[in-house]
Amino acid sequence: MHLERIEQIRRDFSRDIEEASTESALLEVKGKYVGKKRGVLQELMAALKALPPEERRAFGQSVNALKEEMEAGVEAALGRTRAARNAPPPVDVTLPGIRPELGTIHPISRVRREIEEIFLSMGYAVASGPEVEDAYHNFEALNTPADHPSRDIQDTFYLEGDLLLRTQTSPVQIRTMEARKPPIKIIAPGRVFRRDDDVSHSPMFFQVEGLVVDEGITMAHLKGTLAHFYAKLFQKDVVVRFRPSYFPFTEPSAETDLSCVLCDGAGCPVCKRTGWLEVGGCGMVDPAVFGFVGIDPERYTGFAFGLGIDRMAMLKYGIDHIRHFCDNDLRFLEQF
Amino acid sequence: MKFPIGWIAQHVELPADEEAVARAFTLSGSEVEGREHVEGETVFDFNITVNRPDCMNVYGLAREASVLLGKPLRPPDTDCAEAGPPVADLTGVTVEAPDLCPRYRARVITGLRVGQSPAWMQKRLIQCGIRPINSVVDVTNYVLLEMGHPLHAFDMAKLAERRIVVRRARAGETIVTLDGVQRKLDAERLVIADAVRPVALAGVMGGEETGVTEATADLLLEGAVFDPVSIRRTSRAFGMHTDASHRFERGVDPEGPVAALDRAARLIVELCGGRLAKGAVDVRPAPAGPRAVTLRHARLEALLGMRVRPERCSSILRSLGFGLEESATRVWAVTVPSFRVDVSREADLIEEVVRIHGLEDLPSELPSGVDPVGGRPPEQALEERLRDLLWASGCSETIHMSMTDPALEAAFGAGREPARLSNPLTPAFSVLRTSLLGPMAASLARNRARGARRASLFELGRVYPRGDDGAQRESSGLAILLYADAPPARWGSPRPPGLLELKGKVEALLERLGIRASFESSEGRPFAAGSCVAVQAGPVRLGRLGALDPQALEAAGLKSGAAYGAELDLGALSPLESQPKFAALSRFPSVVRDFSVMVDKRVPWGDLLGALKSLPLADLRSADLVDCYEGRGVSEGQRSVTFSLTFQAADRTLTEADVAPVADAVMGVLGPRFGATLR
Repeated sequence: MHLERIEQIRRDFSRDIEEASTESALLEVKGKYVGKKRGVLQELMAALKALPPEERRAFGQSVNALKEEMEAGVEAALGRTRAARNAPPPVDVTLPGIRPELGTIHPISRVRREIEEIFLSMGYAVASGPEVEDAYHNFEALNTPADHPSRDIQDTFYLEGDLLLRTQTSPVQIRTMEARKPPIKIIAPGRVFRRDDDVSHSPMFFQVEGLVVDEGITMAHLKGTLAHFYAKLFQKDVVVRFRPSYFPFTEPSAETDLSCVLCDGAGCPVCKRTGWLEVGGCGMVDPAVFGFVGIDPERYTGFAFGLGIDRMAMLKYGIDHIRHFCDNDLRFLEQF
Repeated sequence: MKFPIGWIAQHVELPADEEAVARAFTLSGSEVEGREHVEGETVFDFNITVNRPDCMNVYGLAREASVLLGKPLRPPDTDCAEAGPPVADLTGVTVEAPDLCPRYRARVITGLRVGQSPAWMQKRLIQCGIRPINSVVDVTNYVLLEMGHPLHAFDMAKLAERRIVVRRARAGETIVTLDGVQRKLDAERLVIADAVRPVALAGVMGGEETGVTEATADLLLEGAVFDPVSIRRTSRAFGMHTDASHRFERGVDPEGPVAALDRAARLIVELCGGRLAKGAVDVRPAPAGPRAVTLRHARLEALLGMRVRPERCSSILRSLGFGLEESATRVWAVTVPSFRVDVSREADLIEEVVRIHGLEDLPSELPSGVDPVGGRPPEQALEERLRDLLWASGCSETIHMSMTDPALEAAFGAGREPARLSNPLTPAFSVLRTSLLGPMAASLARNRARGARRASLFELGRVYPRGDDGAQRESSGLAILLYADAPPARWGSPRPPGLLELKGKVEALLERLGIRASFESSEGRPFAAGSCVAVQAGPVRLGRLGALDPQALEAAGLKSGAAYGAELDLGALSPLESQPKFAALSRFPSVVRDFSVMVDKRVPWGDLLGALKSLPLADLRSADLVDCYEGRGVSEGQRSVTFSLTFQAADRTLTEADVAPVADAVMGVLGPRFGATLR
């Protein structure tokens, strides 16, 4: 008879909880069945005391099970109702997202950073020097005396007195070697200026200079360094070819040719169908340069190289014209 | 420099594959940078580096090819019959400036007839880009192209006393050069003179009066060696770059005049008849002996990082014309041929070996060791941090030329006279910027013309102000430029920027760098009156920001819209940058009290904030502005300022009793001092 009553309560509870659609209705159901004061459960507990001791145990267990079941039922229903109340409103997910304002980094800076990171990972220091240079550091100490035709290679902007806009990042080599002794392993990125303005030249552009001076540095080290660097920069296997050339501050000197990173050497418009890209000059530090900075050329040897950041950026991003870099057209800047 | 390969092939056998020939030249340092067909033959356009004047002629290139291809070299025919009287009977040469003219050699031909040069010779000249003139001039040019030594022919009849004096010009002297231009001379210029007057600008160009014409019968042929620096100075002073000056500047073979004069004499007699005088006048006060340079095989391999057999080294050098004996110690005393004016040191010889041996076998190795300084210098590291903070805060990076327009510089710059280029390309790029904002505003104007209506830009770069002493300085700066010109509201677009958006960016940047700054009202270009804020860290001026003066914007070409600019000095920021310092987190809840007061709208928030912060309120963590409002519901001349005070103790939960006295304390100072009333 008592067990029947329990089943009856269970059915009533199920029905009531089904019907309760609001939080307050659910709380009412909770009070009615498991309330501490006037709940249905209280009535059963009272009946429990009247039972003979041998029946109490089984009945007690059934009442407890019912209690737990009803409490869980109420909590679950309450959870569902709360969830329904806090549910986000429906959104047309095909609408464009509301974006945070993000700017862009200039492609020259992006590529310069990449270049720096590669050399930093190889143990280099980044060095810098003035952009308004004196003729001594830009030319003389780089074995380019006044009244020598090697000065014609670079048309120079002059300021008053002895000052000029540096035509290359190479004076940073001199300043570094003046300031400290080997081992030296630096790159020097920065602006350079040439009095040159046509379709493929800009009067201002960006170079990276590299200099390594230590005991036992060889031209093979130079080749290995550049091969490693270009492979990292363009994320592909590349072939580096040295072609003998002339720079006043290196001997032997070479132009660096890189297997074309666009056609992998097959020949394309960018490499003028040669399969090779001329990417910069390099060579072994000329003993005369060591003479200017007081480094013993018998004990130390070194290599130096240069490359154009603009050129690398054009190759990496497929930029068709060097003019874009300083034009600052927002339609250009916002692509990076 | 253009040379037909058919001409080179007259001196050395070349393979039929032109591509292979071009590659051999290119990979040994004489780059073939172009190819064209002229007069039915292939002409190579060589890029000869300035150190290799010996390759600036057909025979020199043939010599390179003979070494590269292992084929014998055939020199030009220099045999010449001397049918005339001894040269000393016909002329004399005096060199009064031996420092500038170490050698002057002359030959004389009499009784010739000048006409047109033959077709084969004209073809060669045209292929090399030289216009045929007459048979004598053509021969001198032909020999220049063939053998590399510049020659000059004088009409002897026009030389006063039929003799030559090599000297410095005298002040006041003039000469009309072959191009018809009269040139004023001075003691810096080396001239070839006759007994009376200058007849040629030595090594650059001959004089018109003594030039060879159809009427010339007797000829003095000059083959000389001049000081490269003197030639270069003269050539530049007069803006005359000639085939002769090009070679003399780079240095000619001191032995060159002998064969070149003989070759020219032979050709002239062949083409024009006449009798070649016996012998040559040769004034050479101090002939230099052959240079000897030591080459150590061990050094060569150590510098290259590559094995090259000693026999290979010596055979390459010999084939290039260097003299050396085999040496058991593999240390060679190498004699340098006279035509190699560029070789004087061991490194030069190593380059000679390697450029012929080829660099293709050079191994690829990585050097070990790291730079003891390493990394980025602090100021550059700061730049990179700023760059990241700026793009993340919505600004796009620009890069502008360091050179700018004087008018733009005047409108935006520091006020002192900017550094001026002495040889600018255009007036628009003739001074160095002392402000980043000017060029940025000019770019903004160009973008505005293309239809852009808003922009947030930044630039990190150098400016080049002059110091109080007038000395040129260079410093790194940061500029931010925000611009809006009634931008159309678009989906999700933020509101157009104003001065407070700009100030907020600067505040956030400085906070991220750990720099405590204050903002003080200031004045000055290029900011609008009453809208300039100085950014200070104590006594240190970090920079300025503000609304840009419409007049300055107009100078940049920007006629509409509002622009706000900030410019900071990285040199000032860098030493102040500090690492974040962790502050312990309180376990206890904070208590917030909001206040809304009405106050005269001319009272700056900064003054209210200062007063709040000076209150002796224990556990006050922050005082934050919630809202600043004037308009409906607020009486004229007043504004409603809402702020919240946050209290938190490190060691206990604050109670109502702790914060109860706050309201009285706040109004106790805001009331009497600013006339504020609680709303």
